[in-house]
Amino acid sequence: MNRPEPDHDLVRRAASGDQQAFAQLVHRHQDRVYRLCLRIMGNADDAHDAAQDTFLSLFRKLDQFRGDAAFTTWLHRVGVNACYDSLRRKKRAPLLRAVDDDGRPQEQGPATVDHADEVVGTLDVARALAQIREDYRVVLVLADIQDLAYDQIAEILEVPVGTVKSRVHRGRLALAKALGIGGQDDPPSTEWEPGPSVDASEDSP
Amino acid sequence: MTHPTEQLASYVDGSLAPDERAQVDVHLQRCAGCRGEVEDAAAARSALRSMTTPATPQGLGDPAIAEMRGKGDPVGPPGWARFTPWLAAAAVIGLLAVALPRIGSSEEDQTAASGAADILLPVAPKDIRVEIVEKDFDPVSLEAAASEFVEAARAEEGGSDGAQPVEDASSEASTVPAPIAGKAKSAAALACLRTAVPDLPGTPVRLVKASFRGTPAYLGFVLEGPGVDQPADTVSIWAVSAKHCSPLSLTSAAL
Repeated sequence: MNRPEPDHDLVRRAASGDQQAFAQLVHRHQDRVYRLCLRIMGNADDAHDAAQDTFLSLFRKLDQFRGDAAFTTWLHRVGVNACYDSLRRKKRAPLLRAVDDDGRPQEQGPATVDHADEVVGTLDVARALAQIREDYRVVLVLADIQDLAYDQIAEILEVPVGTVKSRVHRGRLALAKALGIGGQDDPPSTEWEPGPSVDASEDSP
Repeated sequence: MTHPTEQLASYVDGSLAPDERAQVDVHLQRCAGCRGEVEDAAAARSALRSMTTPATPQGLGDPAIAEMRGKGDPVGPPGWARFTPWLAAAAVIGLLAVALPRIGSSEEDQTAASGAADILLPVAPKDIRVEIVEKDFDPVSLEAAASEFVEAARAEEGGSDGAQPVEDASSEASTVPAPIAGKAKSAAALACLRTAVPDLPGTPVRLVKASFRGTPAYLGFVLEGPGVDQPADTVSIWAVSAKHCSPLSLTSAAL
């Protein structure tokens, strides 16, 4: 039985123009990219767009990939950045309405979750997840849904590991509260700016 | 009392080293606040891990693969870089609005400065002409367009007098300028932009007819300032459906 070709080799071949190698990378990682985007963006349409942007960005940056990093870590960084770009665009464009394939405006739903989560339990969690701070949501998605290690998350977000751990804990508390199962107050909702930053308020309960 | 906040995440995961776990246990025995947090955090983690994921839609890699196929193919889907010449030429038209106190053109000659409208006023120059471009934009290429606009603006600002004629810019870009639509169609495009974005926060300086993710679209380049009588500090590009005059996307860049 043949061993699957390592990601690093596929990246190298794709960077030199091998379309099949790139298609194989997409096929191999599309589930995790879509899951990442779905849980950060909160709805299937935006997740679809962000996932497409992730692979587009990945293709354009193939030659920047250094083999000393794990491909999945790098891919997550590209994906998280694509989601942040998309979220920023949405914030700057409150007038924007979703449109269908013909450009007709669609009705906006009351929440940022949709039919993709019509499963008992998942819908509630997805709705709660969409309500918490972006920086908390992102670390929770990376830690508890994508199952990445804290040091990987620190590398993806370019923040210290301690900050990641604090955010994960605070994020879980915020999610618990949003789910109605928490008794703790979460910190005031402020927008998170990507980049290394340590919030002193994260150091004490 | 110092609370082991950083350790609590790993404690809930079960990934804490045994000696650290023992220390946290000791703390939890005498700290009801942290005990409550651990319970809540564990419940939240459990809820997240129980989430089911819907099926992954098809075609997530299609735009990237299409761009890959287009590389080296003169008629294939272009990367943004290939698109630069028309933009460089067209951007200078917009640049006139940035670099000059007034912008305008006569009906016959877009380089003439008659019928000008002050860019600080919240009205569009009446004679903006729509440039027709065969390109399908997406959020990434739209953002690239804004960046290109800014780069061109800065380059122009650093020039001798900022009033370089458009013809020079065109020849510099060594390409044929984008076709320009007539006055009626241009006015209709501007009206469409204003219908899509009724409170357009700035002054349109360019209109491009292209498509956005397959939908026929107008791209409105809009200069925005921090307030009345303040110079523009941002360029925004609104992509609006040419058919339904509804917003499709928006990107902005600081000038």
